[in-house]
Amino acid sequence: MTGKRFYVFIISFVLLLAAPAFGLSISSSVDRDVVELGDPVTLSVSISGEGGSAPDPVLPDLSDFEVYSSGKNTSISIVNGRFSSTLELSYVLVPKKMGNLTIGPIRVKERNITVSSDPIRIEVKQAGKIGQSPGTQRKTESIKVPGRTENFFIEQVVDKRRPFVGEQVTLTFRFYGAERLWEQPDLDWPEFNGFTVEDLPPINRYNKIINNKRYGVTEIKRALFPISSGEIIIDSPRLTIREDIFDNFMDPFNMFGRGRRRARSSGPKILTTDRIKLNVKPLPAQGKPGSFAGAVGRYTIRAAVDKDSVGIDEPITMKVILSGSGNIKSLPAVSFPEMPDFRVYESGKTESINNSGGVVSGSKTFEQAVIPITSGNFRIPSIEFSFFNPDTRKYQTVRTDPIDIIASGEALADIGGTPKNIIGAGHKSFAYIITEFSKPEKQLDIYSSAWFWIFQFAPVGGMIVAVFMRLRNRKMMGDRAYARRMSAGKKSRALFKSSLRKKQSGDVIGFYGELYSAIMGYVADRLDLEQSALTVDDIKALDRLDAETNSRLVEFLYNIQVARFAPGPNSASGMDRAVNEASELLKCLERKL
Amino acid sequence: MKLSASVIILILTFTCSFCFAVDNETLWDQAAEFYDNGDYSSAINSYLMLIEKKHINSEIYHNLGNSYFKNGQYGRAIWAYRRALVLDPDLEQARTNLEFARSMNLDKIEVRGGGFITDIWDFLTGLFGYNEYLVAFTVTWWILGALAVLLIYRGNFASWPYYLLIAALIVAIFSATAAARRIKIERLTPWGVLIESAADIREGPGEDFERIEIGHEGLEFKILGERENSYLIELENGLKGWINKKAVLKI
Repeated sequence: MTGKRFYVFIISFVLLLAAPAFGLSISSSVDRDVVELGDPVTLSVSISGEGGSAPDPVLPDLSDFEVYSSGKNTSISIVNGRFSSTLELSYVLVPKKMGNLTIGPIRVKERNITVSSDPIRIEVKQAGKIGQSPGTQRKTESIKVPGRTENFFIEQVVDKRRPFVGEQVTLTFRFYGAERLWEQPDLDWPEFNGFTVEDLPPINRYNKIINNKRYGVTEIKRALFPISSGEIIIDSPRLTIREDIFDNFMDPFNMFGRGRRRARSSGPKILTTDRIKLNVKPLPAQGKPGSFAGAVGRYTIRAAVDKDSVGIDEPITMKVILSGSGNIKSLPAVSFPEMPDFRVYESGKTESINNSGGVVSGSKTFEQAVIPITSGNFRIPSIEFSFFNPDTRKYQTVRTDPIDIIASGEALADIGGTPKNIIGAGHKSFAYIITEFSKPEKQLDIYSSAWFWIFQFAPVGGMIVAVFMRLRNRKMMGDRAYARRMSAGKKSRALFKSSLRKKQSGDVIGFYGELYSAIMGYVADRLDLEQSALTVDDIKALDRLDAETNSRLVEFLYNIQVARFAPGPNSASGMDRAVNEASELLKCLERKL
Repeated sequence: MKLSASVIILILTFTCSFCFAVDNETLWDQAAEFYDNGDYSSAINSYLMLIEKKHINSEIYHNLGNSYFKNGQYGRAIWAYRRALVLDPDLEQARTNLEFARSMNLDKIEVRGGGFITDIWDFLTGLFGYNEYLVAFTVTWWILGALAVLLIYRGNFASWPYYLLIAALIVAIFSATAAARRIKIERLTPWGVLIESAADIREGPGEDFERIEIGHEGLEFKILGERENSYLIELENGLKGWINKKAVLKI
């Protein structure tokens, strides 16, 4: 392990332990803080932190409410050198009692860090006590509409019939019901060709008396943004309902013979209403700024950077945020200025849309990573954005403030320009190109060589041989006859060599004695007989050898004994013959015994 | 007449090709000269010509990486340095410059570690290349074999060779596992690097699918599969998605 690697490891380890839940935050809000008893309140919880997944929150005691989970959204970002995530949850709370209710702090815990949101107070009033705020009213108004006598009908209205292109038109759909329904009605919206559409929650419910008939009214709003000028027709929505019908029937099990009332569903009934014609006006050509790209509404713009003093090649995150009301999703991208002193990367865009209050509003953030190429003081020029304001019927241009950036240090790309090695101990410098010409080389993978694998088998072979030797030794230790049989050849060869030495030294008696012992010893060891008691006659009586070998062996032993105890004149040539004969006999005995 | 014309054309062609043929060493020197003069595009072309002529070695890829780096093509620089390290895992210059090229990537992906033990394991198995681990395995395997032979032959296991054998066994198992891990990462798993300034990582193979993230030049990832014009990739933090093949160079 090199010194640097070791320190990097230690520092990484310390940081690993010391960086729990860095950047973890939580916020919570409600869509309204004064409600009537039974009215729903939407609680929004947003948790953000660094890392791939934000932890789930721990809700406080909400026993004063009925709680329904209504949504969960997770977004992850790996832009600008950081990996962060945001978890957005929403809950629908329905108060069970009147008075001042409190939603306690919502906690979130990651590793050893716990963060919590502020408590939220909600005032719950008696039904019908709240003023005329849309979405919370449950009033009953009485009007007269000629011809309206049906139990169920729908209507749709718009807030303006002559909008500009891109201007919000609020479409209100109402369903009137004077009787009970068998099941929830099924609403089919028309296609809305020529518009982009946004829902405008919440759904309002209230009562209304029309021609002395009491209706329950369900009201749904949508924001429509015309895409082009001219006449556009909004078709009727289709609402399919099944009425709840009561009738009498005879019960065969009723012994008193009286009829009973029962509820049943009617067949499906489709409700429609009048179409609406819009005359969409084009945007005026007069006064259109050069930077106008089609945005309609009311907007502000601001730009921000995460740091204004950096080293060269260090990225800066630059955000341009458009906020206001209008068709946020369709807002055109802002034009970033030319920045020749920076490398510029698109990092993405995010939207935040709030549809409460019957108006589509929110913000759109355009993010870029800008990296200074050289050192110095730089100014990112102001960015302008033009839009058409339908309220004033004029074009407006808004601008960001210029942003000053200080970049210092030496560019990485310059470090390798000339052969340098000057950065200092402990800091690696950018390595210069290799100038020495080298021959082509093949990828060195020793595991792909056959020799590598053959090499790995050698120790296995050694172990197998060792096991075999071990077993053999063990058997020799426990079986005397086997041990003598196995060592017979070795002993006789030793004696044979000894006899040759005696022959060379001229010790005739010793020579024949050793030769005799070599042969007799071999036979005794192979047959596990006592050598000292073994005679030529015993050999003659052996039935383990064939007759020819036996007689040859007996003759040889007899001749040896004669030569040993009564040496003749030609002793040298006799010894040679004896050596040859003994050698052949030993080979023969090795085969046959 | 026709024959003699053909012979003349053939001789001329051969002579011209001989005159204009640049040997590899000259091409190599020219590339270094281009590099020194700041003409990085020409240096890149020269190094690519050498590679095309099958004159391939780790030094060429290292120099190509430097040329890409100085030309501002950081994704391609990462690709070239990694190719150099495939050919020679011990080429320290390429390893150093790879760190420089990686530092230019905008996407700093936080890899949630599996904990202390996992980090230690990753550190230990990442200290050397797979060839070094294989050599270590072979040496300890032979020591282990010799000790085993000795112990078996002697039949006495309660002695110092036995403890040495246990130690050798542990080292051999570790070396083999580390080598297998590094081979899997470096040789068996295909990697890719993003060479465009930015590219969408999507939920599925094609423009119709939702964007999960934007990746930036120099982003490295495993390639798990491919379909038509897209690669299925996995980032180091485990995030999976599809990316356009045109934006990727396979390492």
